[in-house]
Amino acid sequence: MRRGQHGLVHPLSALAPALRRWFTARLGAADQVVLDGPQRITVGHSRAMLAVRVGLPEGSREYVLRVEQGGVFGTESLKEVRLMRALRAAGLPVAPVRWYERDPSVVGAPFFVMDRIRGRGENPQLGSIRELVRLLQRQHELDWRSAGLGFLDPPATPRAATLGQIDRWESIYREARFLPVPLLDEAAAWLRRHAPPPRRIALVHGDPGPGNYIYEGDRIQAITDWEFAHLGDPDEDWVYMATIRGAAMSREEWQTLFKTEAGVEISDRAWRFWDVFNQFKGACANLTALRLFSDGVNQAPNMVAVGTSIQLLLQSRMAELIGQDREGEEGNGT
Amino acid sequence: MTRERHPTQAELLEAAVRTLEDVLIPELQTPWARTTAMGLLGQLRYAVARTSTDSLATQDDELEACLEALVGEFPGLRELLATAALRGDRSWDLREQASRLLVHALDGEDAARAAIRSRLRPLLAAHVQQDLGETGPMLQAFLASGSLGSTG
Repeated sequence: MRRGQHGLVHPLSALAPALRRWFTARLGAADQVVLDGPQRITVGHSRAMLAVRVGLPEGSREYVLRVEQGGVFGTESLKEVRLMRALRAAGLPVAPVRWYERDPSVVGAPFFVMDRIRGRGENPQLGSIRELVRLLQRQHELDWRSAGLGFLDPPATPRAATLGQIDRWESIYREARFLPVPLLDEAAAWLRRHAPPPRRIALVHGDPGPGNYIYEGDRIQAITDWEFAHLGDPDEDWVYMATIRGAAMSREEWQTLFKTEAGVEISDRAWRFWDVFNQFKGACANLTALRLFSDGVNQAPNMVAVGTSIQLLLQSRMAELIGQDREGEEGNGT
Repeated sequence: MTRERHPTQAELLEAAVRTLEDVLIPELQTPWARTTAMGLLGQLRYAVARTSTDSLATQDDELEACLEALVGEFPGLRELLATAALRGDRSWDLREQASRLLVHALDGEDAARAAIRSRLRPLLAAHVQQDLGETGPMLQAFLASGSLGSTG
């Protein structure tokens, strides 16, 4: 049994006794609960997702453990737990979070436990995508102050929200890098020069779109993966959904959907900016995976792939967009 | 021609790739084990490709030549490069200087900025493509395993 490797104790079967004791204590069972699992769910890079079935005298319950991976993508669990609880209380479809465990000795890293939501995650059809667009608009219209989201570091001004996000991801890149990445340095400077004024400050999911929600037919059961959420410009989410997660549809199809389902229209300038920003953010975030891999914190193969080839794909697209923007300016004589 | 007593690193890695692909992956039952094994397959194929190249040294040479040419042609850039935070590490320092020039070229219009945009920037973009090609086996394995979500 090894600790630290892949952010978890391995092999996973070695976790069962500790988890059985842990659930027994949490559920207040007089006798030890019966535990089936854990089984790793094949999604996610920022967190390891472990499914367990806990048997109790009154019946069994299914849970998912969302386990930290050594700080991949510069995120941590506690903020995600507080946010998910607040959003569920506000009526958004979010899995109920039952417990947060900060002690890494249980499974090798901090984790939280939520109810397992049954449904599909891959290859969504248009019906559930339409509902997702409507839910994203609801999320953006949420009064984040009265929903108790003040812990998300409210920016002083709308412009500060966007600049703060550029600073955040640039800082994460600088901490994770082995060498300077000139195209990322250029992008950070380009983004500061081109930041559009936000229309308002809203709760931004940060990674919305196909693959990050669970559905049955046209009905969304839960929106997942809240670790990138922050207060900022909602256009970040719309463009992210269409460009990073929405490859199955064209930009025009997404724009039509945003307009018809949510009444949202985004200027070309803002679209270009958030497209560059999201590629930049992805590249910066993914460099943390390479750092953790090389430092021996998490040496799973997905970490090195995310930190190199996926990161390079995002960087390439980002540089291409900035180059096109410059060509456009020169073509316009500006 | 004599053969070395031990197998080469490339032979060992290629054999590991074949064993993983032909013997182990078909036998794996749980989805996460299969996904991880396919990721490992991509990682090993990347390692095979890496045994014969040192792309960083080549890229350093190209970057140095480009920076020297730009400074030679536009001596005013030397002052800008003097502000770069250097560490005495060739790869680091060249990229730090390249960063300074790229950011400088974002603002204004003059021959030096135009040269940075038309010569240095395409070189850096080409290096990204080279690295992407080199790490391609991992991307293919990632896609084949259905792991590609987005940033994470």
